[in-house]
Amino acid sequence: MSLGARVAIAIMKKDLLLEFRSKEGFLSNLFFCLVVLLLFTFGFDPSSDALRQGRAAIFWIAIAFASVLTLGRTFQRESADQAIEALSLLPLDPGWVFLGKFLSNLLIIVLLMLLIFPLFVVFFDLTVTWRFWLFPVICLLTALGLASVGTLFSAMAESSKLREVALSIMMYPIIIPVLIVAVQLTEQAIKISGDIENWHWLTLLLVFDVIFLTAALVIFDYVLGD
Amino acid sequence: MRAFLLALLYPAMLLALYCAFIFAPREKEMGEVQRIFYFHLSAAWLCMLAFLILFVFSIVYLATGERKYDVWASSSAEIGVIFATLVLITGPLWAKPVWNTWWTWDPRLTTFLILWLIYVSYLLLRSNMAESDKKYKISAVFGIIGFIDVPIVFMSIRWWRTIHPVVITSSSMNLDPAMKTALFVALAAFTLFFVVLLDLRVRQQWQDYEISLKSVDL
Repeated sequence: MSLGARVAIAIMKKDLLLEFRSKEGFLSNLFFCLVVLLLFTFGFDPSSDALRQGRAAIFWIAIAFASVLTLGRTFQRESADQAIEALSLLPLDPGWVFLGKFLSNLLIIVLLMLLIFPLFVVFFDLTVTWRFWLFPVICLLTALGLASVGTLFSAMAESSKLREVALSIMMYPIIIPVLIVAVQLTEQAIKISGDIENWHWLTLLLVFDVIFLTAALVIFDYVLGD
Repeated sequence: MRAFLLALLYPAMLLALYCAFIFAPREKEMGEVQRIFYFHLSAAWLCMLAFLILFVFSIVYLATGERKYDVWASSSAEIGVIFATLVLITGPLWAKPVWNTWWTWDPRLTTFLILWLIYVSYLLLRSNMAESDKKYKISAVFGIIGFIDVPIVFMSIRWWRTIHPVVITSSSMNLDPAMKTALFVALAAFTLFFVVLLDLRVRQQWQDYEISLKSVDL
């Protein structure tokens, strides 16, 4: 295995370890996501149809909030002891550092989605059908989009005095297409009759992922270090 | 050249006002409110121009690392945001009497709103970073990503909205000749205005930069 790939895997493992072992890591995010998911329901009359119609949107907005928390930590934890400088001094294409960070974010976000989903099924009273197989696919493709844009922006947000706020204001307008597509596809996955339709949404999600993952890999060089 | 442009700008603006309010005929169905269209469209054209300039100079900055390209990019972004705000103000003013609603989630309107959000966050991002090459690089990166995102946003919203009936169809170019003249005069005057503003802001930022260099020397 090349040095670059080994570095990327080492960074990914280190970040995953920190996420799962620290108190401010994954568990807090998971809980935060659940709280947001439930909080939204209080904005609706539970006996009306509005909650049923908005449930996919509520799920994805909760995920978007919780993901930004995870993404915000990506480079924050490298600020202690100028670890970020050390990373930028590696005799490698910075794209490998990006790849390591990106993979750890991707795994964490996918896991977050998959763990929140059963709770979503319970609280929003979904009927389990064969269409649910579509859901992991949506999660993976959505997480690819969130993690590619988010990892890049997280490195950028470190230079701003606003930090997490900077990440949010950069990220949300850019990922609007991802959220729209995720909601539309989720509607298809959780409906109780008929075939899955509107496959073109999946194409759009793929296009977003490919464009932004490529752009982030190419451009990351400019945002790491000084 | 600068004095000439400025001398040209005043009569051009007056001419644009004259054409829009007096020369162009009153629209039969919409009435006087239609006249806002000349400025609305001109402002919208300038945002597109401004954000294209931001995109191009962001790439040039990353490629060359020369400060002046960042000055061009950021100046253009500031002016673009002003005109985008004008578009978002003049649009609803026109839409309320004509469509009987301030706002509709039509693909073009929604995309424009998101465009505005993206470029306001560009300015916010810039204003919260210490002056350094890092800041200029990060701004350039965001300028590029924001521009790439716009077509994807447009596609997604077009599909999103086609689920529901489309309320507003795209307007055709079937304008009265006098209206066309008024529109082109307004477009030309606004473009001239943009050039003057951009030149002014670039010079101002550049002087700012030179002063900061001198104060470091002292």
